[in-house]
Amino acid sequence: MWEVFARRKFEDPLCHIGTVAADDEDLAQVYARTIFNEFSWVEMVLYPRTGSISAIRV
Amino acid sequence: MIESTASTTAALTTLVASLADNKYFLGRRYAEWCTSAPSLESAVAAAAMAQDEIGHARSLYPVLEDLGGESPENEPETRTTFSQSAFLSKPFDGWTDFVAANFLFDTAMSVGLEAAVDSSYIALAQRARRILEEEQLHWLHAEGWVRRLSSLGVSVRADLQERLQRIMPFSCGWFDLAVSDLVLSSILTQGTDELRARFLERIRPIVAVAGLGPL
Repeated sequence: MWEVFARRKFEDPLCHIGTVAADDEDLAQVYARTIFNEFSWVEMVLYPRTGSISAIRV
Repeated sequence: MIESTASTTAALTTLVASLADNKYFLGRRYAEWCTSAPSLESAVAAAAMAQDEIGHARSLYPVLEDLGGESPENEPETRTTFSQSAFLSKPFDGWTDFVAANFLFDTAMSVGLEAAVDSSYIALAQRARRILEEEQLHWLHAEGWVRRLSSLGVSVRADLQERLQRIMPFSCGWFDLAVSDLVLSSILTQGTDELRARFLERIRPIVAVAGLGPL
């Protein structure tokens, strides 16, 4: 699973826009770009969920 | 319209018609998987790629009018003689066919278009540049799925190998359209043999990493 972040303008912060399920980073890129294509993003970044660090867990 | 001999114009018309027809039919074949791809993500990707291919065809058909004048043959809706590769004439048997066509045939056409980016025929050069921007995503999809299917076990890999081998002759054969007339008139920067070699250079590393046999 990959967390997808993007921004519409360079001055905007990256915002979490969703997730995609993919086995590798190439397919994750394809899926993220085709699923979240509702805006002309200036940047889109993907992070593997396995690389996340949990700071708070209730 | 370009300044050229009749044989060059004929070769260029054949090339553009083949690109347009093959992209039109590849788009239709991709579109058939919009609702039946293995995952929601791959279904959306299939829909996007279908839309891209049909859009590419839509941009190429008007070039035929520039080359040969007005004719019902310049529109996919009224065209009677299509020149698509035979394997695109019927729906894919499975997702593996989709991946094989994406990996080989889609890539072959992109390699051909790369030789048209600096074409002396501006109408083709402009379209080639635009199409290749969108094709980057198709290549990522293709190589990702070739690796994925190859990792799913012996039988899936064998099936992929068989599908790839079936589509390979159509992909390599497509470069026959890059005749020397087109290179001599700077419409293409590379001819049949060079393009075929470039295509093989593109796909072989992925084939090797995926543990597939030679194609």
